[in-house]
Amino acid sequence: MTLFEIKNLQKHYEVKKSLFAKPSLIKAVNEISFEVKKGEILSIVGESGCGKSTTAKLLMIIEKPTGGEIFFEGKDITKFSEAELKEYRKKVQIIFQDPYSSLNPRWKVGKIIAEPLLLNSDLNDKQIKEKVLAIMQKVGLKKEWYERYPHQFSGGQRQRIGIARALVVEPEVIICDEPVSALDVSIQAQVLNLLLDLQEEFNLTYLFISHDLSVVEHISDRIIVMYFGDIVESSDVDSLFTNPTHEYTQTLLKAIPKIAF
Amino acid sequence: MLLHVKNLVTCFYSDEDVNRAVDDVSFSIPEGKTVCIVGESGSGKSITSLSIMGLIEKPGKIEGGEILFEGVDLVQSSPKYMRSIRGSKIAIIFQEPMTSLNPSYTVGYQLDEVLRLHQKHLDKKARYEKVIEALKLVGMPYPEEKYNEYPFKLSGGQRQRVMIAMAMTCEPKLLIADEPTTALDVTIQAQVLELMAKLQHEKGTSILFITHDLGVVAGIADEVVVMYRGHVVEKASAKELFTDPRHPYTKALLNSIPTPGRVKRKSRLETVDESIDYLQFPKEIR
Repeated sequence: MTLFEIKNLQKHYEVKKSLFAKPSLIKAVNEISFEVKKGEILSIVGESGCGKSTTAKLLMIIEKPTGGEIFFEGKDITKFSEAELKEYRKKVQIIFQDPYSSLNPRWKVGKIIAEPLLLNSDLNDKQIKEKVLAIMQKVGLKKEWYERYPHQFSGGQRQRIGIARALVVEPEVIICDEPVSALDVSIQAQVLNLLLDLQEEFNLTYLFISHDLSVVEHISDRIIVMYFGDIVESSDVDSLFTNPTHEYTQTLLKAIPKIAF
Repeated sequence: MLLHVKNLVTCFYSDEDVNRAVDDVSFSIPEGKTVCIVGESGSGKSITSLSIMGLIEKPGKIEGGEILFEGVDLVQSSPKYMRSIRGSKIAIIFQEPMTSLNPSYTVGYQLDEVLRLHQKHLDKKARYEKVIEALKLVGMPYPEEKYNEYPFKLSGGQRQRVMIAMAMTCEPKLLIADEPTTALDVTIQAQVLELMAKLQHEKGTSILFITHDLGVVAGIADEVVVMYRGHVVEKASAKELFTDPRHPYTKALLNSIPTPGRVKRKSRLETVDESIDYLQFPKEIR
């Protein structure tokens, strides 16, 4: 089943070099089309500036597209009403790269995780607390930590808080924007394991955005390669790594440091 | 041996306690070779490099051991002597090319500064030529134009090239590279690593490379030092380390990386167990 259908999606920014200069166009995302199927892990890879994070922002409606359409379960999300948007935000959640700047330092962990529920549900305080505690346990956070502040946690634990916040509304899709790239390798392994476990348990769909091809090869079903705003290659994991067709993909694969003796 | 670090201890003091960030660390770097220190955040790898550079500031202090560079103990050396070798005989490249260049001076001015300080016999014209030569050496496009540019106009890869050019202008005996490619894209990382290998080959520079990326280590290291909580837990040649890792921490670290062919896709990765104190196992020094 197709969850997302993205057609000719485009995001151009106008940039002025000086006050009277003619604006020039930055084509962050340039007419890309792809689908996301239910229950799969689809990765978007590419280097800085290729448009992968802009794509994530467009899907989260943090940015508005300058062209094209995004269908979620058959409906165009750019034309959603308030009520539909609220419903959409429950179904599609995001985890960010930097577990330091994406958590409010003045809020306790319990409130951080509860925020999506406060905004998008009609549950009372007691129900919300129960839900938050249950989800904390699922992602490997101790109950006693409910009253703590983000600075009391390590990078890996903070990323667990971010994951709990995304999970608490029981979404169908989680957009993971470089969720492990700020973490040490051993912590990265823990978070990847957790993401895989959760996906199995809740039958989640991940749109996984990353520049790390080893991580992407490990967890994805399908991969999209982006380069300067365009999709240059899109295929399943096996064929991408054994038989890359586009020149850029080949360069990218060659550049990964390999452990081979 | 160009550099001998013997039983180095570097501590940081706070009101309540003492943190032994580097605790009894020993290793050496032969001439023209690359030694990698690997470890996770807080393992003491960067503090080791700052200790060698004599850049440990209060509340930190080197409390023991020797750092022998060309036979001279840097721990006992005067600040004046350290200033004279820093930038000339020992140079360092940091992780963040954004923050390690001064935003208010041009690239050329900052490269020229190194020569003004350390090669006082050169006149202005000779220095300019040397800077342009260094920029060409690191593969900077349009070096004459870039000389007058400010750092913000350069890309991350170009900034790191400027840092390498700055480090290499005085042809140091030892280049310390502290996570020099961590902030860069993989294709740019590949170029920077290639550049460092080329410079080492041409000038015979020894490199102390500090990283958490074991893939990078496998590509460039002659010798590898694995650090964990301030201690060296394993030391071996790169080949020995990757084909026959012996310390449980090294093994756990290697197994936590998703490596195609060695780890099954979508399988759960092994992790470094936070409840285990890996220091209880004997050190593996080869």
